[in-house]
Amino acid sequence: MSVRATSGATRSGRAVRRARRIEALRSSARLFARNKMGVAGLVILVVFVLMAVFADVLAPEARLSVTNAPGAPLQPPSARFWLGTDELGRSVLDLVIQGSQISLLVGFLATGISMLIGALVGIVAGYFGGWVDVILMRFTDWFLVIPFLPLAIVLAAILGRSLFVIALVIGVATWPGTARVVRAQVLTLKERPYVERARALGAGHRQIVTRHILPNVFPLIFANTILVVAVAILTETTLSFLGLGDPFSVSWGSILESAFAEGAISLGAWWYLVPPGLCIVLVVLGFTMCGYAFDEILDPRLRER
Amino acid sequence: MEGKRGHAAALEVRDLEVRFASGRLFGRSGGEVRAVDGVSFHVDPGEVFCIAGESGCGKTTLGRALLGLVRPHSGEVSFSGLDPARLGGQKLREFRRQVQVVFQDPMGSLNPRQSVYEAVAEGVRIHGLEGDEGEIVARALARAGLRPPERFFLNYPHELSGGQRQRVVIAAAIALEPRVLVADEPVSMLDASVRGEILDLLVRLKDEVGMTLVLITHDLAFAWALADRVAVMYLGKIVELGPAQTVLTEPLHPYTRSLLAVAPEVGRRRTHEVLTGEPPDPANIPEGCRFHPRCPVLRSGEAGSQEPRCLAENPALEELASDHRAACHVAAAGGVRSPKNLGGTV
Amino acid sequence: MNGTLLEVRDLHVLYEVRGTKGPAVDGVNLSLRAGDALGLAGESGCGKSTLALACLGLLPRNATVEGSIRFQDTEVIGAKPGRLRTMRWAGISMVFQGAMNAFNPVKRVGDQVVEAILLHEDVSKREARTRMRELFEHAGIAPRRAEDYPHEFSGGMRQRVMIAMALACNPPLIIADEPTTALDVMIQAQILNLLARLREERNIALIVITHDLSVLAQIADRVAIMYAGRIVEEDSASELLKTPRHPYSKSLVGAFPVVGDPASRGVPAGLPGDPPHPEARPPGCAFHPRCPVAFEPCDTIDPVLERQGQRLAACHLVAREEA
Repeated sequence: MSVRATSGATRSGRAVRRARRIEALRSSARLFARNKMGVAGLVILVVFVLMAVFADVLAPEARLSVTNAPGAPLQPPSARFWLGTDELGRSVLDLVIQGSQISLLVGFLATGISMLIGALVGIVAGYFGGWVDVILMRFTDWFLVIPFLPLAIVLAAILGRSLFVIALVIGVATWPGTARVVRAQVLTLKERPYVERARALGAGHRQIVTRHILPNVFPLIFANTILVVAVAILTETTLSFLGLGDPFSVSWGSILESAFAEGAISLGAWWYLVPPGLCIVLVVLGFTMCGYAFDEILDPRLRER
Repeated sequence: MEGKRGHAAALEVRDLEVRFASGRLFGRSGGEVRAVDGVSFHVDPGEVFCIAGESGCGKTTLGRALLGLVRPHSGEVSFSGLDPARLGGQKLREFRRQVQVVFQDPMGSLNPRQSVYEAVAEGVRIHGLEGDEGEIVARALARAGLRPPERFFLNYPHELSGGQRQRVVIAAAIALEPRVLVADEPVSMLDASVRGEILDLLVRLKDEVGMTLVLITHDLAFAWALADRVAVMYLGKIVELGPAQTVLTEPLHPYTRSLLAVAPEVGRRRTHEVLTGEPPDPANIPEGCRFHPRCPVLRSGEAGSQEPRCLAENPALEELASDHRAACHVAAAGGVRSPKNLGGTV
Repeated sequence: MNGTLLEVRDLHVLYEVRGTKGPAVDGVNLSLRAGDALGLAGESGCGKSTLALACLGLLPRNATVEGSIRFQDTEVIGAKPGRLRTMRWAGISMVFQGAMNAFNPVKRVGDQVVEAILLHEDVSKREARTRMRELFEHAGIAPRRAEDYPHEFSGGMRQRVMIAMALACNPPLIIADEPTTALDVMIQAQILNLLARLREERNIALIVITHDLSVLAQIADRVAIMYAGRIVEEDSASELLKTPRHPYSKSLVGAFPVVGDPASRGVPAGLPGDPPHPEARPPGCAFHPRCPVAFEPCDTIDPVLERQGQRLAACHLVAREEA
């Protein structure tokens, strides 16, 4: 049963895949550019990431020395210190810029841990079902039930107070939520006719998960990521605020902690309180706005409709 | 068991049973659903074999069991000696290459994030088919009627019409050059005007390659148009089996007769002898002949002496005419044959 | 009282998609009297559902409507929302495509029907419940099932409840869009029986929209075949389905094999190609690229719907045969 190949150049599979991927990227970029909200969100994030990357240049360590502060304590904003000074005389602007490093770093790291564990557990539990599902879900429930703050305190006490511990704590606290959501989605995807058809074609577990389940669950994971980043950054703020963070590094949360410790509210030192809070809000907003735009890109059906 | 033409049958099914555990189902609590409850038949190579029945009769589950997508409770399926329920790994993959499927919902059957090229190439890659992948994909798409194939490579399912999507599914199946194609309601979700093309495609492929076609449908009109042999299913069992010509013009079983009487026809309006009673519920299988609560023959008293058997004993599928089997006590006793015109029940 | 119930005159519906306007309905005329049953048939995209939505004033915002739709003494196009609301359900009610899936899964079926009644009629809750039980009986469903939830009903039963709901306010016209798709033959027969019985008992006019001509054979008096937004043939159901004249109608009718007819053995002939997009209508007759018997004028002159007794057909070939 041999049928002659159709005439003309039929491109090899790899070439087609590559062409398709390039085309997909290009059209995604175009789509994204069209979505004003997405572009605005991206701009915000880029600003903060650049801020974090160039923090040491923009706000050199020297200026943040505790013993040799450049300005007078608790000064309101002025031409020299755009956001005023803290109780030690350091520029709040410098603090905020430096703080972006830790806040973003911890935020991303924690999110990475959370998403990785959550997605893995969710997919495995949802796809394989049976006793695998039962065991994993009980495990997940256990983590869900553990009260977050005591866990954070205990872990900080045992493992010491560092960036990594905070990231770990946040990751551990947030992955169950992702796992449940992902598992629910995988359960429905498993029943789709195209998954059955793939099985009938002879696909094994690995192929089905990577080719059919993952791509279709990815938008959900991504949307969840955005939420978790927001939560992670806020949580880091909380933990630092509570004094569980690294005492030697500056983060937005630690700035808020200091501000409160110094009674900034009663002193009316708004320039000390507002900037870190505002930065957190803006970063979260940036992620959310990007998220909306990505939704459209990731689901081919939402385009052009 | 040899097929009609003396060659080995392409497909043999023996005493197949598929059961599901069920929770609450329409009021009944606990227990098992016997979706397929003892089915035996064979399919000759190159023939078009149609499994017909309403929803709930188990035909879809039977199809899945044939494909090895569902594990039977007992009984066996044999494609030239290969039973999907007993195979694993490489052997199962070989089986899959020989037996392919087309499902009912063209949109659901395609991964919305996979391009047409990917959808067809997937099988090719899994089985490591020889030759240039791009050429194989193009060839399959062209044979499925999508020409020029390259134009469709980068399309996504939502950009295609229902008929085109089904063609992609068919292309993906025939790219593997299977010996048997199981089609579960392949056209019921397509427009009436598109159905002809898809069915024509399936039949042409069958003729070109000698592929065996197992067609699952609720539409007896298509069974009439396409099938060589028909098996009518009711509540998990085959109630009538034989050549399409005879089963559909001279049905022996009262259920087949009712189905035929109700099937709408374009040419004329019929008075409907609609079966009374609730539609078949596999969680709630009646005693005796499972069709007896709705059986018009029983109701009209024409069952006569067979009546107690209908209520107590499940009739076996017996050969009552040349190659024509039916599972009905009354029919087996030689009673009430249908008139040639299908205007009503007897 | 056999006056005209619904009169559609020169209806045009254009959809605006990304800057271009395409006609979904391209000049349709219809007239329906009390108790008539009209079947509207055609492939997906031919405009039949759009036509139905237009009659109810339910078109989306990006649709431009021109022409006239007169229901009883209300002009639907441009009518005020209040007027339309009174007309809907009590004047025209519609059973949408896939309506059986439109139930709220967490409310009992009976309550949902009562809700519909209360929304449109000024009756007490008790009266509404009584009416609901009557409707259930009419639809052939045991009234005690009103306490059940939608998932406890089979597809066919849900469809019957939908039809019962459409009857709730005694409308003189019901539009049913694909009422039997996805249902078994047996259930389909029950639904069609129900519709036929309702017509007889209450003199309700019906418009049944479907791509499945065999359904129309059972229920319609007249059938209109639509293609690319226009009616291409209209005739009494028995005539059209037995001897269609327009080549498109012929291929649609030919797509249905008849059990027992040896001529039907073999694959039903299909039509190659796809119907045209509204923005890309071929010149001349919209059907000519797919027409097996197209001849000279077909690609330049657009055929007009011409009347010959009971029959209307828009085809040069048919016109030539008449001459």
